[in-house]
Amino acid sequence: MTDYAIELKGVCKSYPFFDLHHIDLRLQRGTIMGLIGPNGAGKSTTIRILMGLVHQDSGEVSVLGHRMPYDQVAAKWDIGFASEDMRLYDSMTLGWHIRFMKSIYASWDDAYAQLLLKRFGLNAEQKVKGLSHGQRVKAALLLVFARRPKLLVLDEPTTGLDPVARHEILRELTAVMVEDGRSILFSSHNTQDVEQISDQITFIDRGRIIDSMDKEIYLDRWRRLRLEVPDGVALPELPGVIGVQKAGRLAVAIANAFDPHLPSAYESSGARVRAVENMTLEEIFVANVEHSREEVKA
Amino acid sequence: MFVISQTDKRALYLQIMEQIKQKIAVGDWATGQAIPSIRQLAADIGVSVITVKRAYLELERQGVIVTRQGKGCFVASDSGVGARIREQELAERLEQAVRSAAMMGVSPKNLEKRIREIYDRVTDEEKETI
Amino acid sequence: MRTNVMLQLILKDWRLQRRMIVLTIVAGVAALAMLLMGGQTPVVVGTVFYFVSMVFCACLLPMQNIVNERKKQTLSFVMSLPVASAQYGAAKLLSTVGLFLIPWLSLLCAALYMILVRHSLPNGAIPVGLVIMNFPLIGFCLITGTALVAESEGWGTAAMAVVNSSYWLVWYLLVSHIPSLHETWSGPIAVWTPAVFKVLTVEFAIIVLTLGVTLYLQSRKRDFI
Repeated sequence: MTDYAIELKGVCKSYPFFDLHHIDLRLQRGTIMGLIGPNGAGKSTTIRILMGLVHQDSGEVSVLGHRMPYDQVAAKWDIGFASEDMRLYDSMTLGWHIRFMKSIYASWDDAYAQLLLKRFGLNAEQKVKGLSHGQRVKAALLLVFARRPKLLVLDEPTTGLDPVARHEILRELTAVMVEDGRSILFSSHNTQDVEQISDQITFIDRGRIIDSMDKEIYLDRWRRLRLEVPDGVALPELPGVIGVQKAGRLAVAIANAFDPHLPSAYESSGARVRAVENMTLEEIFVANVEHSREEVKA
Repeated sequence: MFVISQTDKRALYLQIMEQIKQKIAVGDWATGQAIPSIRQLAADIGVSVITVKRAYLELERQGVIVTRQGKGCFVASDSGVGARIREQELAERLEQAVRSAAMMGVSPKNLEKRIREIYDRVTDEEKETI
Repeated sequence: MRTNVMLQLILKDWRLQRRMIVLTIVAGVAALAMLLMGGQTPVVVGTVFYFVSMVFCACLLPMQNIVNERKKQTLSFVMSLPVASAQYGAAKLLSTVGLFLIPWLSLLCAALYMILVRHSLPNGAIPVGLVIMNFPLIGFCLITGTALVAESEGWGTAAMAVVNSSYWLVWYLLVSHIPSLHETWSGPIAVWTPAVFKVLTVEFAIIVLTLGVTLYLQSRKRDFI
């Protein structure tokens, strides 16, 4: 068994108005990876490539030890996939969909399915066309969860859900991890969700991976320093600081490789450090994307 | 019961550490008692495994919990744990306060005076409520 | 394992489309029942409606079974199952053709029953009737092939339009070039001329060719999307 549930090496894909450049991505078995990026960054394309639904132009894709897209049938037995643009059959009931899945997958856990029906507040007798958006998303996720697959690949599982439904889904996602060896890759706009449940965070923007690392380490590297800059003092350019915004005598420095010596480095230049703040993933997201776009331009 | 807050400025793992220490301090998790595995607690709270792992590692480093190979994690079994936790908390808060004061350029003498004022006020308030 | 998924996909399509199949059979049988009334008008009207119900199914089945899967975005759901693009295409073709053959064969038998047992129409009508019955079958294959390969509602609809407007033209051409087709249709004996056999062979060849080309083109596709 390989160590990685998902491994993408140098994956490229060209479309008329969009390119995926040299994607390197590794998901360790038994962990959750949150894939975040702006709209159109390439999250869905990357996910489709690793599911074998789209053939990459170059690069290697390996999922659960299977080469994709060639071995996709074998791989998909152990992968549970749900995407935001996926729909179930309108004229059929949720119960029919459950029976359909049961007829295909031996790993179907009916007791768990029944439990989830209750937990998610869904009725098996109801036709899909009568479900609200949130119920439909939960129904599709139920069909994935109850199979207990080794790998879950979810494209925007909580998008458009009300806070209660989101909470229910996050609960189930973290519950999956109790079993050793199961892995999850999910993409999301919701940085709070990603921050809360991911073991690893991968940032993607304009077809490129900007960052991919351990969540705790990543969050620890980012700080916002609020500085007081008296007249005549010039702020030095320090390593690890990606941007400084200055207005009058106040300045804010964003560091993406924070070092405990950083505040004193500023102090020795004559500035005064009023606060050193942690940043939320949302703030990091915006700062990171802006910074990486500037770098690409330069 | 663990409740994590989105508005708390501190990192998740710190919140978890504090809540575990509280559980121990009030006696809900008794000394020497087995505590949930990292994976189980992560699922119970609804957070990433890596965050709980970090919290556990820190707590072990601080001597609050111990891991026994093959057996799991336990509350450290010496009777001073509760008191040590509270002592640690106080030390951390004092450190924070002094750092802030130093950054703002408050002199040690001034700081002492202000601490005394606060202390007096707080003990007066307690006397009134009794 | 793989054949199980393909089987489940075919069964799924049957479950989704069975209402239309049943409706087609009911409509066709009702049309044939009109022949029992006797008289010129009911025979003509009945025959026309009989033909129309087959044409209706030939158009709607490919659109609902093939095009709608993509349009209504259930394709992602199917793609997440342990199946590859080629297998999906094959299962889809099998289910669509299989589904169509159910009403087509049923109505063919019903018509033969009306002719041979009920004598509502003369036996001479059998050869030419068979030739005409193949029209919706060929039309169906063309629409199905287009819908599956082109993956678009636009192309499917275009195929429908072309096919539907061609029935009359093809019939007219056949009749004007092969007089033996309509010379004997009101006679009491079924006359199987070489011309009739030629026409039936050509029809059969077109069906096989269409389905073959469809399978070939479908198997060359790499991506689901």
